[in-house]
Amino acid sequence: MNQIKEYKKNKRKSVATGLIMLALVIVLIVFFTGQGAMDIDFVSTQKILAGKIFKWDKLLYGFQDNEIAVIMDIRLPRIICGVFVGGGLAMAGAMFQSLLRNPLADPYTLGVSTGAAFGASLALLINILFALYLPVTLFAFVFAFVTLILVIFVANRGGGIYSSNLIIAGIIIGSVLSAGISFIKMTAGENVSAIVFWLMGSLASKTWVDVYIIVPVVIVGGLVAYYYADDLNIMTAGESNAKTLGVNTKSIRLTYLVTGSVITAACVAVSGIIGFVGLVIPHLLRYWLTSDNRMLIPLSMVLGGIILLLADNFTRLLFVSEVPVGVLTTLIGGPFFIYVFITKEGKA
Amino acid sequence: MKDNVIMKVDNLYFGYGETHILKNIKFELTEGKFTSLVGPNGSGKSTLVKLLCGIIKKEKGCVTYKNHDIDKISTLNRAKEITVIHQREKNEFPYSCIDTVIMGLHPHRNRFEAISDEQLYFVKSVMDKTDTLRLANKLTTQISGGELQRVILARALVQKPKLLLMDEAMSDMDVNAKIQLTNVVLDLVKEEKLTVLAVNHDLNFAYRFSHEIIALNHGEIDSVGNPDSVMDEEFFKRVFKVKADIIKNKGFFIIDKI
Repeated sequence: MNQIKEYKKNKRKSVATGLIMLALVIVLIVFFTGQGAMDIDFVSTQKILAGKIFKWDKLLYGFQDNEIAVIMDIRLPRIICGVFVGGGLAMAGAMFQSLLRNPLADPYTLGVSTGAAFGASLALLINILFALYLPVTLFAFVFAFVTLILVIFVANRGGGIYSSNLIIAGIIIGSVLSAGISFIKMTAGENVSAIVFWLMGSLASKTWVDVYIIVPVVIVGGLVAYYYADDLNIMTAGESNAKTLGVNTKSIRLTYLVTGSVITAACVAVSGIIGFVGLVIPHLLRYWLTSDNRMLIPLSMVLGGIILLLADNFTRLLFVSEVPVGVLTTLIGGPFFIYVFITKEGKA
Repeated sequence: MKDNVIMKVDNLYFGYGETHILKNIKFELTEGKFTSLVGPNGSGKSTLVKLLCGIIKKEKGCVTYKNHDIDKISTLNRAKEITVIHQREKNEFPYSCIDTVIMGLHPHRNRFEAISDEQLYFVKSVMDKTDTLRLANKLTTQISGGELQRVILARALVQKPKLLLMDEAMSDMDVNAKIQLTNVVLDLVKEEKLTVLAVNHDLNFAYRFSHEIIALNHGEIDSVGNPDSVMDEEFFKRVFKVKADIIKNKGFFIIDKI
């Protein structure tokens, strides 16, 4: 009957929207590589991209090395990082919201990001004080993981890791680490600006190394998340119901905790704290299209990529002195958070 | 001929620390019977339901399903045979009703296997029977409490249980919906030998529709038997502390507190 047809139509609509957005991502990547301080026209950009990607050396004929370098080593890695960080954060947000059964959760709720920020600040401080070159990204990643283990350990009370315990543990450990970051900032004294800028979240001067970190993590994490998406849907109905429907809640919860946290850690390690993408994107998609995580997770990834790409190129191209993209997303995302919060209270 | 016992509970204890919520529980559920579990608030009904489906682990005693210890059956295998409707279903996220009902297919599906037309047809027929088809593409966050309970019942039936445990599954429904859906369940009891244990606060309903009554009081079994033998004036006085006027074969009026 027509209800079934409508159901199928709704599913098709989600898939079609996803494909259109995916096409848009590719168009935007190509478009934005042609935009920037150095004036390289559209056709030249395409020639350089195609020549480099498909190894057609004759297309590169006539271009200067610095033009090729600007396209390939400055703009493209930053743009790819933007897409995957945005996608990763939005996807992790969708996972954490469903997993914690809390529409106000985001990738930063569990304090994993604060752990990463702490690690990065520490590395920056040591680098400043002792003139070393410790890898900031690696420090961020390791500390994020240690934080996750700590959060799980603290939350693991009363026979299982329940979402309320996780949120409380995340908040407690997050605030301890925040205090730690403040302490590090104080210790850094006059050189505090490096840490402050890192924390604000920016995609400026990203290199291929960052691309090689973020892309595999987001893709593999996304595939894992997609694979168990049906179970995640059922988890939103609560622990007892999920067990009743045959979901092994313990292992699914752990899988998503680790997957979501690793994605978050990689995003933060690469680009600092970029706020609200992870909260807002899954929300928009839930109300616009569907709550079904099978659709929601890939859709979040694509839309998150688009939004961060747009925001980052907005700051890159329109401001004379570049505003960190993390500041911009939070400035726009903050009011949205309040809106979500108010309407949710109204309904309950 | 001896009835087929599907679930056996013997010498079951459960508690937190020193206090026992359930003490020395013993009963059997027979295949193709509708049993109601009644008792005052806090008598341990919901705890008992959770123990019967293995969601919480028993302290002492045995619960067996088809002669297997319930705690030893895997979550997935249990979900293929036993379905539970828990009290207060709440999902914060706006899933459509049909998506919610389709979740019932979960234990019978492989990952990545698309939902077949046959499965969709089955979902549709269940939703038709439970009068939820008209809600199919609405969001669960936008329908009434009684409607949500219908959707949850539809999901439970899509799960094709052999044993259905209902913890106040119809508490928010209007009287007409209650009769309609109780009859849907009773048809399955008759035709497919479904076994049902339903926690029910509506004692007239329990009396009218159950084959058997199990009454709990202070965590112990007060009485077990067919509704006529269990529910007499003395029973209401003892268990619920009310005075009831019994009209044979019809039900009863609760008149006053004692």
